[in-house]
Amino acid sequence: MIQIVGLSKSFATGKDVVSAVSDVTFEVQPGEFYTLLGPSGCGKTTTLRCIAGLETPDAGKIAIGERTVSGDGIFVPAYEREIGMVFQSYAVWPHLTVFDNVALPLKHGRVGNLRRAEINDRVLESLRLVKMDSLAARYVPYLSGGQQQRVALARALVVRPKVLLLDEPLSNLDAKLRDEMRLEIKELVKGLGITGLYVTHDQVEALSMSDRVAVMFEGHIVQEGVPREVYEEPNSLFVAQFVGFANFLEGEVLDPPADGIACVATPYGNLSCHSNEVYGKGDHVVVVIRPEKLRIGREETDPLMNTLKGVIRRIVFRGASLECLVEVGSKALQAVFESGSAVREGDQIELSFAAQSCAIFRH
Amino acid sequence: MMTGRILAPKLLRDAWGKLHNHLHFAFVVIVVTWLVIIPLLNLIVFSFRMGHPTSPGPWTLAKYIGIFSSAVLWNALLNTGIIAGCGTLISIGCAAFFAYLVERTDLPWREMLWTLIVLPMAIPGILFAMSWILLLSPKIGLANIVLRHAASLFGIELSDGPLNIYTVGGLIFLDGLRGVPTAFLLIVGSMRMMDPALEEAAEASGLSKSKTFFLVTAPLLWPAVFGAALYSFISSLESFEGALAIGLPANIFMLSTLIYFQARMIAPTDYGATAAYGVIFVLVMLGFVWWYLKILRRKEMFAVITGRGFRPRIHGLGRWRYPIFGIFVIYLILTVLAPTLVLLWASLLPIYKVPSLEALGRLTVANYHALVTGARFWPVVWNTVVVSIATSGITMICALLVSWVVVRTRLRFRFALDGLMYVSYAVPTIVIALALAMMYLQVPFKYVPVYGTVWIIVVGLVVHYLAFATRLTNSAVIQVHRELEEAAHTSGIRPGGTLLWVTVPLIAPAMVAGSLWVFTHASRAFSIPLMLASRRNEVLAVTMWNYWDNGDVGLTAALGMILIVTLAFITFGGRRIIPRAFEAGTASIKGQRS
Ligand SMILES: Nc1ncnc2c1ncn2[C@@H]1O[C@H](COP(=O)(O)OP(=O)(O)O)[C@@H](O)[C@H]1O
Ligand SMILES: [Mg+2]
Repeated sequence: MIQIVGLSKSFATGKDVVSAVSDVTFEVQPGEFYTLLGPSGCGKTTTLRCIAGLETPDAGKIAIGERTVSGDGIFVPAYEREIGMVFQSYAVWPHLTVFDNVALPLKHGRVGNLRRAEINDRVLESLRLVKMDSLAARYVPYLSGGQQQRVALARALVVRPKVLLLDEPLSNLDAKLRDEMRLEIKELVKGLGITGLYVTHDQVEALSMSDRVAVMFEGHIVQEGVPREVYEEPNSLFVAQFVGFANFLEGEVLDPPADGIACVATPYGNLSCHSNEVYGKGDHVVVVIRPEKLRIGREETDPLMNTLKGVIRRIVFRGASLECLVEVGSKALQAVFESGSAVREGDQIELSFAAQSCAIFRH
Repeated sequence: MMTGRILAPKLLRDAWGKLHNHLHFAFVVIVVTWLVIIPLLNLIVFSFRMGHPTSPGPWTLAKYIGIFSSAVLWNALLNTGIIAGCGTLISIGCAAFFAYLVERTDLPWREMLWTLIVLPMAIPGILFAMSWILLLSPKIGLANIVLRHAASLFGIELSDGPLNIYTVGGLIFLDGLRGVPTAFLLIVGSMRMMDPALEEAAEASGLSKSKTFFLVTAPLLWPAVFGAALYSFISSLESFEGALAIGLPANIFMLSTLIYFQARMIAPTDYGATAAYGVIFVLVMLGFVWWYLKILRRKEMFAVITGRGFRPRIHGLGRWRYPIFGIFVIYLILTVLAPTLVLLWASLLPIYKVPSLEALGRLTVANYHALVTGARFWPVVWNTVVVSIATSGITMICALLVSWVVVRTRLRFRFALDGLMYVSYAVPTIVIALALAMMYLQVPFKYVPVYGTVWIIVVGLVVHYLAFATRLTNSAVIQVHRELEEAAHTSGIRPGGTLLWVTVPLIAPAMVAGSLWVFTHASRAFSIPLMLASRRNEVLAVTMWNYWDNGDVGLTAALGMILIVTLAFITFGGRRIIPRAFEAGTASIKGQRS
């Protein structure tokens, strides 16, 4: 539904040129909910604005549906692309009521020539979708942030776009509201069968809402995949660091990978680690282990099981789980155990993890 | 055949779509070129030609050579420099003193004093000059008569004088008084916003009160004061009214009156030479405007104005607290009371007479009656209303479109456009009028039938007010978050619709305030309508001048009083509307939570 090939965009700021997006390529399938995830300033908004037609790309091709909207000497302006967009700042029009905000695109937009009754119906239908129909007559400055966000959503949906673009729509809301709206937005978009392109810097949002995630860094897409893949098999240190929490142990390759398993010497002992890359003996690497992959005690059955000795320094009770800080040598590792585990602060324990559940990256 | 029939409308529709999308850019470019660039270029070009605009002659440098080798230009430059310079010193001195008194001392009734200081702005410049002629002309001047009576008490008999408005000193005096309100408004802000910590720090390090004032306070305020002085000087350079009513009879030429004299008072007009004077005038003004802009930019970096909004330290006046009011009383008499009272007096007499018991018995409203029932009055009122409304509407629309391109687009020519607005600010009104008159005499522009109508006046006034109006609309458009417009684009609304349905409603308060400002100024504008006057397009201020020129002091004064009172009502009404409109507008823009 959205096809982006080799998209690049840079900005001139005074004398120097900032490259915001460089050579980005991806494709969003019809009906898919696709997320661009990355730290602030990595070029997510710029990518989205190029798709919306609010920026002119320096290079690359963008197609929405079957239609090339940018590239090959074509540039279709924003108001002629069949999209809806929700802005980070909401951008609801403060001089209008909730109803008129949603009605304006129908009255003066691309759709054109609708009868008054029809406009009325479509606006109310759209407001009902976001549960704002009871506040239709209110002026938007008198709404809360969450309510303004819903109006922005209704306004984007009322033109029945093929594609909905959302730029960090939840970042200005408080945590509780964010949890609610996450689900609601996803269900709404899925229910209407619209293709969604979502931009966020919040990995929880990205992992919980999306069909597929693209992780961006410094204007490039560094990894793309379903949320589970991105979380479990990060392809770079950056992705491992940025998506979810991870422990990092520096070391040196002792035995280069054979059958996908390498042996890495660390100050805390030799570890067997899963790897598909080619490393030479003596290469400096980082071993990445997710907190929930660490177990208490030694499991002798598996020869590829690694063990680390440590002391529990702190325990945080999380209800379903225990979050522990385990001191291993000079390093503090984060580990998550089931809440039934019999551990106390100060206990000497052994941590074990499978070679398959850790990964190594070049340092 | 089928495809042909389908294709043609589609091609047409595409072409129209393309044009439509860029319509506002095209419009802005055309309007600005038409209003500012062509008249100015035409003026420059013609200053190098012989002949009449209707049939231009060969190229020549003779005009410039003639001008620079005669004393007329140097004389006018000298007069203009002296009058504007000394006048500015008076304005700035008074304004800075008043601003200090109002903002930094414990003087009571600050609100009232504010109003009082800016009140003289309500009197049109030409009326102000006329009323001071009635007060200070050597023979019949009212103030002179009073002074002569006073002198005779001491045994000194004078036949005329002792004061004479028809001198360079008289012009300086008037220019100085006229400049006070604007200079006050420009200075008073930084006086108020000054961070008291800066002065307290000086005193804490052991400086005496007077040392603190001269070593800290004064240098901190200097950029604001100097900026205001330069602004005031620029306005004085191009001022016309006093120079016309007082300077010309006394044979004291300023640059503005020199051009008026060349263009309208000697026949046949030497257009080339007049154009050359105009070009020289513009160059002089451009130099000062450029300097002023440089200072403005530097002033923004200066940290005096912190915007933290505290009340500065107050200087106790002690026993001077009430006597010092005398200064304001004198100011009020000089700038408002004496001029309006002498006009009122003159308007109530069929033939102007010095006040006396005998004259008191002859007071009548005959002048007002004659005016209102005369054949000339209502057409002139109609012209004035048309000019004022058309000017304010067209100016604000053009300003909005220009601002939109300057603020919102990334087109390369937007900087040039913004710069051009400053250039148009540097063109003196009298030169705008000259350039337009010459342009619409010439092929092909003479086929646009505006010469001699109210519309050429409207064009001139639009050019003149455009610079100010774009400042206003620029800051209004900047206030509107870009994403509010982009949200309209992504909802499928075209740029034109976005402007109409999103931007304009959001900045409506600024638009209303701006049109009211332009309206009140256009309705009493003098130099442009006079320079472009014909029998068909007379406006009130011009009619007033014609009466005066004919010696009909009574009719002049009566018309002047009508103008002052009407404008006072509009301004007073506007005062109440504008702040409210502003409040509503800013609330609606800023009320959005984030
Ligand atoms: N209009 C602009 N002018 C100059 N630089 C810009 C502009 N928009 C974005 N940038 C720069 O481009 C980079 C990417 O910005 P953006 O796409 O907004 O990042 P994100 O949305 O991921 O936080 C940043 O370095 C930003 O400073
Ligand atoms: Mg962003």
